Amino acid sequence: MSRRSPEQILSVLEEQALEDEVREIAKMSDADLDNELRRAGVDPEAALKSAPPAPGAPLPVARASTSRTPPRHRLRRSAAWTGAAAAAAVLVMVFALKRDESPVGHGFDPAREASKLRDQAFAACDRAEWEPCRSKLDEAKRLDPPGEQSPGVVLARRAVEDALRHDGSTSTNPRLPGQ
Amino acid sequence: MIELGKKEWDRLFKEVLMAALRLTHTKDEILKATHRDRAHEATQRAFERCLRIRPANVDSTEALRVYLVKAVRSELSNAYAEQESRSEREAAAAIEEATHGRSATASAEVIRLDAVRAQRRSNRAARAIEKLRRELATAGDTIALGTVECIAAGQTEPAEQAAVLKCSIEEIYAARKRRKRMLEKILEALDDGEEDA
Repeated sequence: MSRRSPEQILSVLEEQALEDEVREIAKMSDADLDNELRRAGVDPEAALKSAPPAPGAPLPVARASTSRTPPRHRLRRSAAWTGAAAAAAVLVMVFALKRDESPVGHGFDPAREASKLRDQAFAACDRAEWEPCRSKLDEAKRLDPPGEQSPGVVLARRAVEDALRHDGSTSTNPRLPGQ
Repeated sequence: MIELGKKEWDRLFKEVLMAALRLTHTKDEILKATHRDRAHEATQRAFERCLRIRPANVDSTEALRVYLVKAVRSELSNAYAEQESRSEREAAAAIEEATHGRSATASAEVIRLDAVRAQRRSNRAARAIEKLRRELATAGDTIALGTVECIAAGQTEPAEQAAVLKCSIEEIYAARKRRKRMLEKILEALDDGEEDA
């Protein structure tokens, strides 16, 4: 058998030294190992936090989210919708008071129907049912085009658009957080 | 690959980290923190590599321990090699680029540097082994010296060395410890001398 070169011998010696080292460490008790780590300047508990999880270990439990919308968007949408609902409530009250003052009419009143539809739309928006909300607003717009400019409707429209755009679909009803 | 519970896995992480700390041990107070960080990082990378590759032949805790420690050593040597050669290679690349322009193949300067480094490694090993043989002989440690000769002849296993040297396996392991301590001192002296030179 040909003799090994010094480089090869050194490599084997270093390999065996490492094996011996590992064997010696493996024989240590848990307390000894922790003490040895501390002596080397390492906090054993802190070090373990950086250890990758054991294979097959359960994944850390994450809070399930019902919406894929980023939190910032959700907050912005929620705030917009709160404003819209408040404005709509004021408008509804103003309309109602004015109607009480005016003589009661008979037959079909487009403005009143549009107002009802808008109430239904706001209620749908409140339940995060964006598609029904939009269709009710569209119906109301056909009956009462000027009402489309009211702040409540504008904000409701914006909330619907935001919701449908962020969820990437117009066929589903995304839910607001907490719903 | 063998599956371990969290307790065994944590214990293994600490063992491998300890081995990494010993591999990177330095007496230089200024470098201690850097070496500690390097040991920690190498240990994390070794575990991540193990989880990614999931070596099929690792079927016991002992085998996994050895695999991880070798992975740590590999990570450390890569880190050292990168650190050591970066400035040299950058300098060589700058000269080469200024002379010949950019090239996809290794430049003459880089090839020469690799050859110089290989020669340096070979000289270091030759001097270390020669010194180790001399010191073991001076100390009269025939078993430790015998293990070095056995390795030179291709006999690396403790059992075959024990048969050749007519002693017990325990005596072989004890001799390995003495040999290791002596080799560490020799390498340290050689590396210090190289840095001073």
